[in-house]
Amino acid sequence: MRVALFAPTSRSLYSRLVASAIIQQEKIELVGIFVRHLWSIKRIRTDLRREGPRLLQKVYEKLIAPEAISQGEANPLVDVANERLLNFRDLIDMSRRSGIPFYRVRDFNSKRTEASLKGLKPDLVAFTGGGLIRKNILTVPAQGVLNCHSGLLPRFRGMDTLEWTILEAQGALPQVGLTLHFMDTGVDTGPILRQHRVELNPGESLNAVRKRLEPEMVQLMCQGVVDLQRGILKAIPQEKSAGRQYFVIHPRLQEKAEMKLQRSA
Amino acid sequence: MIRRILEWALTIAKRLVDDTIPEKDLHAFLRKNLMDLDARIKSGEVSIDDPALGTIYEGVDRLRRQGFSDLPDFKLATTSSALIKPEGMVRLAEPILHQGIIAIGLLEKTLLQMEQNVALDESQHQNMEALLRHIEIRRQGGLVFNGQSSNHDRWLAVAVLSALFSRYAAGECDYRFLNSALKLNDWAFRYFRKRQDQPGGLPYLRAVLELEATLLEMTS
Repeated sequence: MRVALFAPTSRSLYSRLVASAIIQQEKIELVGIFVRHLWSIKRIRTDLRREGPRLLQKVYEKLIAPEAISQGEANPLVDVANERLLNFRDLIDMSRRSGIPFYRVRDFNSKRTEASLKGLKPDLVAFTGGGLIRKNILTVPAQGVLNCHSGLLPRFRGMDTLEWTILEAQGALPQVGLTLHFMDTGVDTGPILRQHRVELNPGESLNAVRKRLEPEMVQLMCQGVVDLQRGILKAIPQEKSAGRQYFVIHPRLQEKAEMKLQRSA
Repeated sequence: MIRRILEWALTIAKRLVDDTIPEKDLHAFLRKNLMDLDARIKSGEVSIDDPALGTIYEGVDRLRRQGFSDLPDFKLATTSSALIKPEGMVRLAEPILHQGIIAIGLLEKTLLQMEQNVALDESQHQNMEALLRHIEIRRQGGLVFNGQSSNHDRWLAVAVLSALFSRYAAGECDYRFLNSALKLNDWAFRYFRKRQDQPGGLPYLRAVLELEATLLEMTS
């Protein structure tokens, strides 16, 4: 099976772990890596509009000091990277060493990306972040574009679903989790392939839960690619009315979600 | 060392771009303006028959029940026709949002309808969902209202929208609308904080009351 990888930045640890796991699989070939231009005005404007001021924190965590940001705090994703001896510093380095074509693109939905992707004839695109994907790209890979959403679909679509799940819970702490799904033109509305549910630990912080889920995301994505290659995964369409789209959470509501989680201890 | 410098730069940059209004600032604003309003009512400067007061009394009452016992108890002090709301509303099926422009008249009518506890119909729920998406995606760029003749009118309309979202969040138990109301309030606060004595002060005060009461009721 021919797989192309879409990554938000060449240093994204999640993207690097997914790429490294894919190239180690038999019968699966990583045929191309697409990374978005970091400093395009369009991207900065879109990201700022979506994320607001917290974009700065994200840029710092993901780009400036990704591995070392969590000094004194557990970071399971970094532990996984260390265990797997991830020895390339970014996806450019990886593509050079492995001879995989690398494409730096302004926009994942551009004609240029579309033409390059078509040339690779992929069966699947593993999407590891970088915005919404339009129809012209979604229809290129034979099987589809795979995404791991950090929330339980169909109910919680969109952004900050961990906080929203906690806020909306009545009574006991809710289950949270991840959903592997094919992307469509909506926001997290594509057919569901698999879910991973986890329990919240009383007194745990939101950040700790997020960190705990990150390695599971790598695992879910990689196992999904393998199982699609084996033909043992079935996609189940979502009912549009079965969920709602959530947006970036306001800091005061985020604080309330954090307090609710802390109070559960 | 480099990391420390970067973290320091990050903290400064976040302070510069963060537009979130701290809870204590909002509560201080509410207390001050309600005390002022109380004094103005007692001195006769503001008529107790002002229709905007009805919802303000209601908001204060909701907040007092959530522990804000130091707020003036308007209900005990006044018995006004402003507290009596008109009955009967025409249902509105027209879209509140059309080609990226928000119809302010329909916003006000929908808010009035909700205050009278008249249930919204399916098309109105769809209108609300479309408005939410519009504000969340376009953010301040989406704050375009029909018939707004000045910047002040625009921010008055934002106050109405914020009150509507808060009221809808409470009625439908939908935190997403409360979330949007909080964002709208962050933007409007900067404009209104120094304009409480101008026309428009009361609608904004009412929007903040609605927001804070809803936030406390939904998260306590």
